[in-house]
Amino acid sequence: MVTPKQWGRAFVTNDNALHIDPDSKDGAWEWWYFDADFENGYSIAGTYDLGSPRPPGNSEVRYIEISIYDPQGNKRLTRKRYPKDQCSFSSETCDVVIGPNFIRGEHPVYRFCMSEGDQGFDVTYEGLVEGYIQPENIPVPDLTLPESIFAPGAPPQWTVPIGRGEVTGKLTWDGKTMDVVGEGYHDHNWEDYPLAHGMLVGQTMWGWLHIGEWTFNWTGGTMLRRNKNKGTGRIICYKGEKIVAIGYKGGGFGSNYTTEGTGSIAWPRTIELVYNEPGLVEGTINLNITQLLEFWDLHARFKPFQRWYAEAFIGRPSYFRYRFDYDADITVIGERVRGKGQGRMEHHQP
Amino acid sequence: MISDELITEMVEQLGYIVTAARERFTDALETYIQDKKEDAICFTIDDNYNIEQMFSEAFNTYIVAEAAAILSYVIYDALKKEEIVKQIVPAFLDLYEKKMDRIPEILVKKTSSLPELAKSVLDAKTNNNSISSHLLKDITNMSDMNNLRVSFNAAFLNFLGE
Repeated sequence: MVTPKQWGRAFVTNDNALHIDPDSKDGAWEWWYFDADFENGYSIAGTYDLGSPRPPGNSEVRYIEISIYDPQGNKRLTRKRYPKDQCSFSSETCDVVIGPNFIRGEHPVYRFCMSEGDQGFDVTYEGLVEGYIQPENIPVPDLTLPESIFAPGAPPQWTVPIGRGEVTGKLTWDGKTMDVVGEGYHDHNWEDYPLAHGMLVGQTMWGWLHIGEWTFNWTGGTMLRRNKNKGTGRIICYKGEKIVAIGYKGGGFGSNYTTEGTGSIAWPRTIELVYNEPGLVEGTINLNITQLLEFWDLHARFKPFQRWYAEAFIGRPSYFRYRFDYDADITVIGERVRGKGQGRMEHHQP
Repeated sequence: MISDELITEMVEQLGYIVTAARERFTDALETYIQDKKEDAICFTIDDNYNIEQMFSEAFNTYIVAEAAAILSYVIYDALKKEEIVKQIVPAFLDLYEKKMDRIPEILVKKTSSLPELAKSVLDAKTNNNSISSHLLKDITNMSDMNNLRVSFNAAFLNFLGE
């Protein structure tokens, strides 16, 4: 039974099930993202994918794209496709199978398994905070769209089954299996078109951080120039296991740009997230990017003249994942929350 | 047979090129005003002329050839007449370029990489269709750069998925 609550409605198991039409021809995609940091210094992050979010659209593919990191920051990336007949996705419950790899569970407990050669894991995520499902009537920024050319279906849909979770199980690194305990995050996105098709939002960043009993899941960025580069952002504030506030007035602003690790595409070394809804959520989170974990040039699969045209008229959309150090000073319904630490985030730029 | 889906997509493309053009025009205007270094902005008749030139350059660099390619693609898709792409529109663009007061530097920069790009695609010997092959060879065989025709060819090749 779905129950209403102050900040949307209660998360139910099929919110973490399949949403898109798996036979879509328009480039629809859906992914189940997860990450976890373990007490022994190892960490994992990746996605189980139906359809590729990278343009041009390809809804036919099923694959995993998962990285395991050792305490020294060395990475073992597994990107592997499986035939459709070795994959299945339930639209009733969270039951995602891609070859020998799967996610299964009933909210708020999910088992993530990956087994590929000498790398793998079998870990269970148990939510420490309630799930977040995007309400249907979220406030929409005041847009000015003289030539409104963004497509329906954009930006991606976003739910957060586990904004903060305890993660336990086994991890295999280069054939060596170890017990692991740590904390993790799991969210879930889907969209009817490849990433960057919509061109509604400019810089978009999203991530999570913990300060004591507080958990923050946030988005931040700026709209495209045609939308006056307005700040856009959302911050979901959990105290203990409950969502106590969701702010919709914010922005994320990058600076100290570099092209290190990407060739020619710039990414910010520092980011300021600002939230400004007095009485609800207000304050800043300063991020210092410490590691570029993943980078995709979203036009990499385009053919030569498609790339030329896109760069001349559309942009150079890219996707990044970072590790960061944060320095946060946020006031949530009158309660000031300050803290420093580390976190992980994604960044999509046009 | 006119494809509504294609027309919708091409209208969206027109939005992209108009947006690119107007942003470049505004950037040029902003730089021009900053370079004047005057507190009060009063346009002289020379200023008016210079700003009009900026508008023409943005239009000629980002809209003429690409809008022609968009419309040609829609018409070609419906009528399957290759001469639209191979002869009629290129002839129109060549004449229009000859009439231009001057070729904008930014247009030259925009097209400068295209002959090499076309050569690399031809050298890759993929199975280009008749129109693609024609457009690619047209770019590589051009002795004097016809910037608008090259832009048209490149935009059309993009729509063809090259």
